[in-house]
Amino acid sequence: MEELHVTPALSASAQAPARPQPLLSLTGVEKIFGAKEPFVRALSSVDLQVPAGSSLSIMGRSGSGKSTLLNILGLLDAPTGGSYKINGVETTQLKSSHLDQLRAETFGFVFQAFHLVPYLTVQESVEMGVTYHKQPKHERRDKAAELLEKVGMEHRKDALISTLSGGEKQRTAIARALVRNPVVLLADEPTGNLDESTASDVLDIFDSIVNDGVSLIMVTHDPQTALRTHEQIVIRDGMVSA
Amino acid sequence: MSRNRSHADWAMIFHQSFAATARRPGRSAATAVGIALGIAVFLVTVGWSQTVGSQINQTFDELAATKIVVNDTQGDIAGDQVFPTNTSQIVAQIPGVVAGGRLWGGGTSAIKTSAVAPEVDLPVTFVDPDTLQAAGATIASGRTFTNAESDQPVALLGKNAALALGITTLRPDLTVEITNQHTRALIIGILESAGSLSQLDHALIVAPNAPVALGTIASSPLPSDTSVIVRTELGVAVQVAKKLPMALLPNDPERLGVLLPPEPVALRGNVQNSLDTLAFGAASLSLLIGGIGIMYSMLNAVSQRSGEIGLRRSIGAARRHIVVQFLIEGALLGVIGAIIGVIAGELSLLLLAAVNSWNPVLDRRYLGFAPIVGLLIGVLAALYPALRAASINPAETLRS
Repeated sequence: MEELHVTPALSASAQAPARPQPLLSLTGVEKIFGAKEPFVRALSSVDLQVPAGSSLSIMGRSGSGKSTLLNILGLLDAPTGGSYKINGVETTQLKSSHLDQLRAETFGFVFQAFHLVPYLTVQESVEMGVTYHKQPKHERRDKAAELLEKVGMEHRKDALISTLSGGEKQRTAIARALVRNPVVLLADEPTGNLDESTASDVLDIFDSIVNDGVSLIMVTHDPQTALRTHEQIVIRDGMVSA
Repeated sequence: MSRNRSHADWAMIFHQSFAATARRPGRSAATAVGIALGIAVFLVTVGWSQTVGSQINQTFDELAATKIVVNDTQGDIAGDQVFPTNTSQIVAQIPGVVAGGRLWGGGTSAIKTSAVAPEVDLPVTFVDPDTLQAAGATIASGRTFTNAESDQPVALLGKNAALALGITTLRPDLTVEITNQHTRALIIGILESAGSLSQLDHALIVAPNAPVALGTIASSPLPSDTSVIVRTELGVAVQVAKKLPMALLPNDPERLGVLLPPEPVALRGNVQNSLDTLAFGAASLSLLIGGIGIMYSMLNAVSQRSGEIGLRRSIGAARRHIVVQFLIEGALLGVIGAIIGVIAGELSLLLLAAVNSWNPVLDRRYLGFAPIVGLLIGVLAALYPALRAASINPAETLRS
């Protein structure tokens, strides 16, 4: 089976701010849920350009469509209308297997609910990020160790996930999201389950990641958190309003 | 856009499947218990069948190996010309013979006893004293006749014949009269069982040479359907059967037919086949139920682990990777369940056999095949849950 491969131009270290072509480009994107009436229109005519190396916050009330937009950006869901290009490649025409690989090579995901596997250790959880992209064991171990140090979790590497605090879980989830060197980190309410101090630590890690050249798109309903990113947009009733 | 091939790390997938099974022992045990019970019931059922079958075989083998019947195949001469008076002694000289003697029928006659008035029609049968021993007959009351009484007017009653005559207890002076023959015999015993000669249960059994003393029913020559019943020691019936014709009728041994009862052998096979069919049916049903148990447990696990499935999709897992992951887990649970089932089944079988004082019999191949069967059932049972897992929309599961 042929599979897609993200070009070197998309790698985090090679991104250039002056590149005319946006990394992610949505044009007239719609998302309608339901096979028959009454349909639920989650997104309407969304136009969005995300340059490489930028950081963006998506704000909005519950049910406004911000998580739906993030899922479409991360290729976890498909739009029902419009165009979505990644580095100029139209994704709406790609087969499922190609989308699986493009998703894995382009994006890292961080979730409000962490979505860590409880029966794995911290180290195993981070390495799990490359389960479907085989790497030599020593490379995988070195990379996981490097990332655990970056997020301050190296001392807990042998702990089972079920024994971690919320902040530790989110740090582990961030390390897992970065283990495949994603071009874009997608974070859905990453501080929603954390106290203020722990949330600040997590946002500091995000700043560091963006400084390393990784794009960040973060869904949040907290204006103060949104101000930590370069740009902010607001979704209302499925439409980008600001 | 360039293209290349990426590869899943199957060692990691297996490790994660193993961790999912080993690090949640409670859930894994609950899921594997279906297979464990299925395998245990399978082994107990099959083992019990084989143990019972072994006992039946032993019983049938004993009958088949020890009972011989000799007949005159031509029937054109008197019975006593074929089987002389000293038949019991001739037969007893053959190595391996326990006992043997003649048996012939005297027809049905009206019988009445000295104790009660009504007449009853009963078959009259003549036997040598050793014939009863050869049949394995047992006495309920009184005694059987001896060789010394062979020419005396003494008789025994089969248990059903005694009931028909209304005799419940044996009195010392109890006699029977064969009314149309005007002959009388002293009843010296009532049979509890006629052993392999069940027809004697309904008969008046008369000493062989008593016909002389009984007057008009005294008949010589003997009827041509006279036969000889021989009981041998275990394992020598075939050899004894070969020697009997020459010993009994050395001038014309070919006219004698020797029967090693074939029926018990066929019956043994039929009973064993029925037991096997029953056992495999019940055992297969139990395995099916075990498999369905695993399937429902795994469907529940798929529901509970939908977030993990969505996460795996987000990090690049294709649907086939999700399917394989759950199949591996199903296989592991199947093998674990089978191992537990083998231990439980073997112990249960030993216990059941010990309670019944039987030797447990179980084909050891079943023990070796059990983990393979468990693996196959685990994989089959996990297939539907795995396909369900692969069809989960990751966006929906990750939203929560």
